Amino acid sequence: MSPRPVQIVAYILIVIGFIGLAWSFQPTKGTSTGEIPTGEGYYSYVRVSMWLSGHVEGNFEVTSGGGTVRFFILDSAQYEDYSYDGIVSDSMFTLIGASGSFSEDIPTTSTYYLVVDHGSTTAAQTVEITYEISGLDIKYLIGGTVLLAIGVVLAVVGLRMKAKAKAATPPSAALTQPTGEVVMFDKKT
Amino acid sequence: METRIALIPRVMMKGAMGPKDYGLLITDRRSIFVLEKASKAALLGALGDALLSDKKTFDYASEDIEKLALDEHNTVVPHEDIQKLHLKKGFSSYTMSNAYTLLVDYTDTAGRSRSVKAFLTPTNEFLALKKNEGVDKKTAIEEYAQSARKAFEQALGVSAAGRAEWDV
Repeated sequence: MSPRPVQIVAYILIVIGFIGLAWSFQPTKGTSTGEIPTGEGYYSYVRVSMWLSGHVEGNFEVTSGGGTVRFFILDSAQYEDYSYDGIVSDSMFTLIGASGSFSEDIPTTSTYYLVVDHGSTTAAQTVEITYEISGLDIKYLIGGTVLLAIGVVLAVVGLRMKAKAKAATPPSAALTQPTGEVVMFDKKT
Repeated sequence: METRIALIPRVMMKGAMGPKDYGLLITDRRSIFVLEKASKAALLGALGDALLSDKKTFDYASEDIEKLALDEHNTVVPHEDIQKLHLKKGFSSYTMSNAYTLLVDYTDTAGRSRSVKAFLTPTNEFLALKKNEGVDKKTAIEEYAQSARKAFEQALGVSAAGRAEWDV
């Protein structure tokens, strides 16, 4: 097998890997529409995975159903408590209203949740959450790193294949002088 | 019958997308710059040689001279049409080192004035060989240029006397 396809694939993966790594530093923007069904205890959430630390900000708005909602930013432990009994004993950020803005620093590597549940009414509500997350995006970070690693391995394999192929090719006696010196031909040639 | 005089294994010429490597085959009638390797893109070159064209190798001792001359990638300079040949000492921005530049002004078959500018760039093998012999790089480059001069002098003969200028 020719080493060239391997090398080309390797370099493509390396380029994509670098793009992925660079992209992991870009802020992630998103809009999520949460449906909160009629009745107590229902909620909707957006899950945010954060590597190291970062910042999340955005806004929410009740777009149908009227009334207010409760909006929380919870870390994993807080979310676990909340999802168990619906009681928010602690939160990173809390706001009650028909709409509102949020901005919160995220301190460490973990999964965080943007949660909305019923406020002034238990009727069905639709809430639109728009958010922007600054910080390392773990998906692109891992994806980029994996592609980069595969690319590097393939590049090394390709180079070895090329070296083997080169070693296996017997040099032609009269090819360009391997020493690279200027060759004076015999006049009879 | 056309006679091979010498081969200068490597000269570099400027191309639109970066430097091009040529082998310079000198016969008793003409000098043929044979394209061996051309960078497809200087930037992509940083990614590795997979994205560059492979270096072609030719058996210059037996390759059909006419075939090399007719290849549109190659540049042919008929010796009788050389107006001026100057081997000039200078600096190559490609290799970032001292280099000898071969400047050839000639008239092509259509009667137009042409110029060829090529850097006499020794191969890494040559420089390594010279290093092993205790010859420093500057001297090795000079030796390479001196060999090239001898090759041209032999090929052009006495007719070169008034047309050639040597800085080596």
